[in-house]
Amino acid sequence: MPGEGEPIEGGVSVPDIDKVIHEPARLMIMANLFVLESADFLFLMNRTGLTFGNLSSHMKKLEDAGYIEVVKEFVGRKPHTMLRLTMEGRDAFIEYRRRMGEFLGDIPE
Amino acid sequence: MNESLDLGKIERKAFSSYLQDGFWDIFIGFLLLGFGLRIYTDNVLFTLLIFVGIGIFILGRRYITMPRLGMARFGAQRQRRHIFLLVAILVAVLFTVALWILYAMDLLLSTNIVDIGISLVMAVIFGMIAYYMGSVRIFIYGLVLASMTFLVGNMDDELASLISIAFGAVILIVGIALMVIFIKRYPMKEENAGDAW
Repeated sequence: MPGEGEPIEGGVSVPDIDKVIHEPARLMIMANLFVLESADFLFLMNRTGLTFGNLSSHMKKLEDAGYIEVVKEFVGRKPHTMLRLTMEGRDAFIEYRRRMGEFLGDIPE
Repeated sequence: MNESLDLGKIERKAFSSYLQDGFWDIFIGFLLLGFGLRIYTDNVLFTLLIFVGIGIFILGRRYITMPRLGMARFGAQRQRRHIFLLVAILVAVLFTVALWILYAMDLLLSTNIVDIGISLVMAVIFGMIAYYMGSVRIFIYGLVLASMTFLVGNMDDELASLISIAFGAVILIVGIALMVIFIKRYPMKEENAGDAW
């Protein structure tokens, strides 16, 4: 029987799962940004149901991990901040889905 | 935050959230009202109601929807569908104009053909808009508009216009109700929340 965090016979182990993405709130942020080209802070607040402070702190963690980037642009004459996944963030999300699929697939019925 | 991780569903939900504001319904409601009142009263000024609908749609999106819902840009697949939709609408408009020109030049024997053609074009346009938006509601409105176009040309004007006015009023009321629900559901966040970060 494998020890804690060890793979089940050549499968994915728990430490292989990206913990920055694995947190439920950040997972929803990543999933929403993955299907969009970009979105602003307000749109993400509405889509994830997170409060301003919560979303800010999760965004900071994702930005520190290099998964999201901030794009400043003008809407009319007003400056507007849009957020989008970096290439690294997209790759990390794809890899996270693959590993979670493998990990859960390894668990016997 | 209790959504499952179905990415297609997340994308569709994000997109359809822009449809909850009721402004499409208000626009189509005004369109049918303008159409019906114009024929019923024979007063061309009622055609202006269509422009009122367009104005409310544009201003409502700008000053009610965006500050509450925020802004998002959708992926390449939806942008391709968007371009396809615009091309299809352009083709449909050109087809309608061609029908009228043929009719004006006496190359079409019956206005029935024009009515059927325009009705079909309307049904196709709204069908495509409904498909693009994933909204059955818009598709039903399209069918109502197409039927009205056909009926006005083929039945008693007064009755057809009254049916159009009735449908327009119902759709307008649905739109206003949706807008009120939307405003309650998405209250204004603190200023510049959309520009936070």
